Amino acid sequence: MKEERGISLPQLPNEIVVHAQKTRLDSFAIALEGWRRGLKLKWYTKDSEYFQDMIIFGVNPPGRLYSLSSDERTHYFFRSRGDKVPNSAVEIGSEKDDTKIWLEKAGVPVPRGKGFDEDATDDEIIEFSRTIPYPQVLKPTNASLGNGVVTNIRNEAEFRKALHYVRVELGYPEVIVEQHVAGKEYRVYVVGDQVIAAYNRVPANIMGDGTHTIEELIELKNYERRKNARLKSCLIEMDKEILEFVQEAGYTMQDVPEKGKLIYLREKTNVSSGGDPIDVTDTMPDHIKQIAIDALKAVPGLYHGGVDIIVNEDKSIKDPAVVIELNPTAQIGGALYPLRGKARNIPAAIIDYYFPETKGIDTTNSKVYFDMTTVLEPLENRAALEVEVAPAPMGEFFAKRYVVSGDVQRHSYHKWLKKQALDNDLHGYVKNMVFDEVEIIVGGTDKAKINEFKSIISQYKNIHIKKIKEEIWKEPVIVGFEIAERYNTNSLKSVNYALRKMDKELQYLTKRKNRLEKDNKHILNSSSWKLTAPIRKVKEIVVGKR
Amino acid sequence: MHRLMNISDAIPKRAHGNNLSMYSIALEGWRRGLTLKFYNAYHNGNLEIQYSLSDQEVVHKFQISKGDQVSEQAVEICKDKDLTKKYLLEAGVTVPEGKSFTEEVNNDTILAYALSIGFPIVIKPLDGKLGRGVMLNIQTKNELLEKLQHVRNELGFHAVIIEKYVTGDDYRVYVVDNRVIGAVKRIPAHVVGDGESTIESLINEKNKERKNNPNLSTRLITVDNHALSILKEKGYTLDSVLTKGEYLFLKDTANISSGGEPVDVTNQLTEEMKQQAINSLKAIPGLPQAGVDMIVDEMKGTSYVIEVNTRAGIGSHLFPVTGEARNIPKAIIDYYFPNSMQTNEEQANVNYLFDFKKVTDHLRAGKVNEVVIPTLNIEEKHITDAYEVYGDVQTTTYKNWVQKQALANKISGYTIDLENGNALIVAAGEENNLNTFKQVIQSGSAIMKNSTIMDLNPYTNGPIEYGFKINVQVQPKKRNKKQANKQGNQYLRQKKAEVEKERKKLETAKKKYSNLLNSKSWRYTEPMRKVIKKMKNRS
Repeated sequence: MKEERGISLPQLPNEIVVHAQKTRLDSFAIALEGWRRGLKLKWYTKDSEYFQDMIIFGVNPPGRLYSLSSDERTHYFFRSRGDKVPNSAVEIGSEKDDTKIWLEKAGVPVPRGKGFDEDATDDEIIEFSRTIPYPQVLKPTNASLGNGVVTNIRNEAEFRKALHYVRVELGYPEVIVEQHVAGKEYRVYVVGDQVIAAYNRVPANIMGDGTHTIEELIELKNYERRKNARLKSCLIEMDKEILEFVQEAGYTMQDVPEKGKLIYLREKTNVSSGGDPIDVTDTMPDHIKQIAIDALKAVPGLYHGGVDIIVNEDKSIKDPAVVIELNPTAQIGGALYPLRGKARNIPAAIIDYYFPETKGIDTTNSKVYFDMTTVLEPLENRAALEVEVAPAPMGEFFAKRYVVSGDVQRHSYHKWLKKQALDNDLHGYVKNMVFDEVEIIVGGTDKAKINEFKSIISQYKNIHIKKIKEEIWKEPVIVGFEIAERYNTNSLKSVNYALRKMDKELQYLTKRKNRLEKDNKHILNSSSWKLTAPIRKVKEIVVGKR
Repeated sequence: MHRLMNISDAIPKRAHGNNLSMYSIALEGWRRGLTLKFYNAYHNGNLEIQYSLSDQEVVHKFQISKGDQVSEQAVEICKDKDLTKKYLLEAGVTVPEGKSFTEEVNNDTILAYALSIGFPIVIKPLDGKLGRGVMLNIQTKNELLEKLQHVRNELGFHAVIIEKYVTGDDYRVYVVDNRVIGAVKRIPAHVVGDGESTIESLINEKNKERKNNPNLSTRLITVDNHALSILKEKGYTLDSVLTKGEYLFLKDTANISSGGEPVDVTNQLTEEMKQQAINSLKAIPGLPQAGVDMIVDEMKGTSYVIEVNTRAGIGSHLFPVTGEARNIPKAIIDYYFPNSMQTNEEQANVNYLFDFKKVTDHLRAGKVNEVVIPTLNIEEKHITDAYEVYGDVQTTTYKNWVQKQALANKISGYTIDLENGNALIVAAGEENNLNTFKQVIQSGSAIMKNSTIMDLNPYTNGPIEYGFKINVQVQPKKRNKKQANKQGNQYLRQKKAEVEKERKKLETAKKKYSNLLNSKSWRYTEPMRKVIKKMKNRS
């Protein structure tokens, strides 16, 4: 596992996206890019009138709905999708059957297949299945994240089984039957007629090293994923699916695979279920890229979005690649934080598309950002309907760190410092350090003001300053000025703050626990568990006798 | 008057003092169904929060109490005391005789002018505020020279006004749209002896009272050098005991910020005085609302206009130390939004507030630039209800579920953990929404199979903050702070234990999960499950 790690964008280091997980990451990265170019950024709750006519989903917690405005106009966004994409395009993209019809009409290669609605009988579907070559794929027409997709169906018996599984057990009566095209799966992000990013989606996997068991290797892989801002929120979870998959491949979790042996853990390629995004933007051949571009163009109004394609390897079909899915609201985290290869700046491409006049503004070296948790707080319990982020300081950003010693830990002094900083349009924080020191960070675009701040520090009356140490500060700075107090048992405010933090943690733990307990119950209630109960009882007795 | 009562129990800590004017006017407008925004703006180089109110047709922007119908020109005139005076004189408003002197004029020239109008006189900085650098009742030539030196050189107010000192009380008269809405008299900081207490303990007593007044809680009486010198002059120290009924003034100026006390005198104003205040606004172009400072000698019946304030604070009218409160916010909103419906009591059964702290804290830290408050639909009938719920209701899972249901049904309110293990849910919203919400709570959730619900008496007292909060803690009174702290730390320990417990449960579940998956019965039955699946398919 000592391979090179993916290279992320210099303007998006991991630390600034800690409060923007999963789909919030898409919103944050695009909003941040626009904001850093000087656009006005606002966040909304789902009650806002501006989103009543837009197709949105999963937006109960805020952080997915936002707008960017220049002096001339405003564009509204839901996650990675902006208001230039009409609802009609979103609808076509979300129905796999519709997608296929539009793609075929435009001559874009798709796997041979057909969609069936809920009235279709199983026999009808099986009948059709017989007309296309095996292996086949069966998938629900409108499920996302790879849910319910059965691949590699090799014969009619397997097909019948899969059909029952998807339609009855999972409860998706609308299905698509498709020829399975063997090959690697890619997610391509297209804006206008340009491919911005392409990455290979490799199913969850581990590589043997000759010493660790499969179980340990998964842990090690997760350790690596935790260091990646996108992948840390989707670790490889050891579930029934993985266990069965590994078993089927002839291993147990305790086996030690030989060095260099690649073992797949799932069929699904989704990043969210443990898949690896590997950047291939520079190496993907142009004629494959063109297929992705044509696919997007096939749907009227779909000016930007994700295209999932399979590049055909065994030449079982005449086309070099087929498009299997379109994503008008694609997650872009995999392109921003690939496991291997270079990050691709999809946010910049999207902002270029919506606000071409800001195209020249380079944010590569931008060190200033806003904190999602802070900005969204008034929206969480609906105390506010919209929140506009404080404007980004425009121009080259400088910052200094002053460490001041003396009787400098008084709150009134910190409040005064905050006022001085804000009145001078400076950003940063003041934080208590050991005993008689404070750390002050001030940053802004006016270098003179930042240097002058050193003399301001000692201007507060009744404060005796012993020493001021100064140094250039190169880390990212959050917009605004904060009094970052440590927890103090004597301050009610501090106690309440700690309480709120703990509540959040508790919420998170409870959610994870509930999910696991549900899975456990599922196993215990399964018929195979119940059937083997006598065996376990016998074993208990045997063990007990020893 | 009743609405003022509503305001008085609705002032969160964060809105005390300087924020009171903004908060009370914003609240009045918001409660009438206007759209309210708070935003950051620079005012004379200081970052401050301003706000706007709007209906379908117009937007009006406000700073403190000043709305956007006050013209730029009026602001410029009122900033310059000399210019103000010129306009007032032209309109025939009585002002004290006086003249301003620029930085270049020497003290001798100023002295010559002072002698020409005669002592006693006053020195004021040309552009000072809050009474800083104002020297009252100067009686002699030497005193004048000494004070001039102090104000011009030491305090750095080089340009000054020399005025005839007129005697009387400090009045602040608030005028909106050619009507006097309220008037307060400001009495300099003082204590009254009881024959037992020291001056120091009398001051402490006064400050205790001030802390309970939203307008004064941030403006306590401070014993500064000025106060000490007054005590010394009278032969007292802080430990002296005053005789019963003895009045002792601690400051020369009556400013509220230096310990002055506002007393409502709206009904004591003569018609002439009211007209004088109204005429002062008329004298200045584009000034429909302002606070007029007057010196009124109640015995002699004289009154002089000293100053006109465009960004006047209105807290003294809302919370006078004695006398009736005057509803300045209502008058201002009536003027700017004459069509806005004033919700009457039957209609507005819910005393809604917006969460001032939550919406302004991040503005104050410069992290956000603008916050829009959800607009109230005042055409709807809103009511408040409260239920006590039983069962496993103090868990985070349950409370999160309640919050989710509340937000989905547009319900405001909060939940509180009760000591008896139950939870109290206070909910306000449109009647039908509230019924739906109640039914949902009643039927419980999937998580909460055995929660039951008991109605409490219709819950109508107390304001409700818009939005829905979980785990509301009862706000402690200041004197109970220590106890609250102790309690807070106790909560924290409990919560910590709860987190640990949950973490353990998660670990157990994890272990069980991996045991189950790795167990022989599960692994060996793999082929069996496949068979079962196949069988199911065939059937």
